[in-house]
This record gives sequence, structure tokens and C-alpha cells, in this order.
Amino acid sequence: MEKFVRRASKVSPEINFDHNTNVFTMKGESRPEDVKGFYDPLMKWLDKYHGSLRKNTDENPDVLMVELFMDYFNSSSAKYLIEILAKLVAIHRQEEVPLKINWIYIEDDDDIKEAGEEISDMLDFPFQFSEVPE
Amino acid sequence: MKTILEKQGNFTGDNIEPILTEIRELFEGKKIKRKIFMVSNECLENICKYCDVYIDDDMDEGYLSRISIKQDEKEVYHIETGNVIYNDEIEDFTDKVDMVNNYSPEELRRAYSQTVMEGDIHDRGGAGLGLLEMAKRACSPLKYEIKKINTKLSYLSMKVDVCENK
Repeated sequence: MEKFVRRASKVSPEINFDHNTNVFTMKGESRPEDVKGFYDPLMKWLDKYHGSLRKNTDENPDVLMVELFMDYFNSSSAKYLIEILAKLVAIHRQEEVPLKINWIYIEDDDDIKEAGEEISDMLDFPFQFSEVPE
Repeated sequence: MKTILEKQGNFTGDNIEPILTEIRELFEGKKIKRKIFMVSNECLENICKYCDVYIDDDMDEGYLSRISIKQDEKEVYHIETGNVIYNDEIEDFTDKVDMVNNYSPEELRRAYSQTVMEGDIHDRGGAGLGLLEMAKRACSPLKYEIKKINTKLSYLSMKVDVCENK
């Protein structure tokens, strides 16, 4: 299994999902024209990751660390973002692996902060919120 | 009423990018920038995704897709768009807008959550969340007007009002 890495573009975020360190980061803007084509490979990677955790129960990680620092995501990306996080929350619940989700936002960006709060509510999982200066 | 931006053309995924960049630049340093960008992006994506309607050479130039941003004296920004749609898509669209406009803020939040959790991304990339997203950011109900062009096509005009304090 390889890390899932994507460079940022003007319309898509930087993604770095590392199964070795169990650190999963996404940063930037998400409004790819082909949202399915962009996110489906990541969804498949997460399924494979979940499967590999089950096979290697002795090597279960101490904690899954998720860091999201999104400037903007369109409504289609929101759907995928939530599905990605829902998969990680499911892994945490099913495999009893600790999970931390850090939702980072630029100070005064109430829209992104609120979006994080809503997603946290939808998933019924508490996020840590971190404000950074612009 | 002050016109801040006015564009018209045959909008596609490629040529909306410069418009979005211009919108960012126009609102640089203003708190409302993100909200204006969010709504404008959803509006333009809707035009690109849902209106793959061929406009033939005989059609009036007034039927090209368009977007404008105007600011009134009460600091309300009016994001107005226009595009050609198929007549058989009108009912579905107007039903959705009317429903969204009738939601209370709590119902809107619930509808958004439900659509996110249960809706599928369809072939054209939309998740059915665009109108809900616009309504969440808007400070008054979404407005629309439909003018029939012929038996097959109509021109849809939409207006989303955005204010700093909502």
C-alpha cells in the first residue's frame, strides 16, 4: 500500500494521507470540475487502509490524526469531505482506534468555522478547532 | 445601485475561472469576500453543470449566460445570474427553490445534513446541495424569473442577496 498524495492546484486541495504515520492532511481549496474523479480514488484508498488495519490487528496505530485546513470547498466537495471523515470515524468506532480531527481555519473565517461545526454535528464526533492568523 | 461586476458569455468549466479570480480580486480585504465567492461559485457551477444547452447562432445575444454583482445603498450585494435551461427542467428547479425558500434556518440545516448524508453525486457532478448552500449564505429568499424562449428552452434569471451580517 502506498501513501495517497496529491499536490494542490487552484481548484483542488493538497492531500497527504499516510498509512505509516496515520496522519491524514488536506489543505487548500476544493472545487474540482470532476469531483467524482478527484475523490473516488481517495475513498478507495481509505477502504484499503481500513482493510489493512483489520488484517494487522497487532500493529494498530495509537491514534489517527486528521488535519483539515480548507480555504473553501464547494457543495459537491462538501459531500466527499464528509464521506471521507465518516469513513475515518467508522474506522475509529469499529476498530477502537483513537481519532483526532483538527479543523483549522483562518481567523474571522466564520463560514469555514461553521462548516466544520456542522460537519462535526453530522458525524456526531467532536472536532478540535484551531484558528490561525491570516 | 453600484455595478461591481458584469460578465456574459457561453460559460464553461474553463472560462469561469478568470471570472472567479476577478471576483476574489474585487473583494480583496473585505470580510464579505468569502461569502460572495461561495455564492458566485455555486451559481456559476450550476450554470455550467445544468445548462449544457446548445445555443444556436440564430439565438438572441440576450440569451447568453451572465453573472453580475451589484451593491445597493444598504450594503446588500445582489448576485444575479442568467442562463438558458430546458423547459422540462423548470418545474423541478422551481419546486426546489420554493421549498428551500420556505425552510426555517433549522430546517435548512437539517435538509443540508440529510442531502449530504443521503444524496448521491450525479453524473454531472452536483450533489443537490448548491441551492441549499446558496440559501444558507443568502440574507433574503432566493429569487428567480423564467422567460420562455420557445417550446424547448427558457431563460432563467436568478438573484441571491448576500449581506455582511448573515
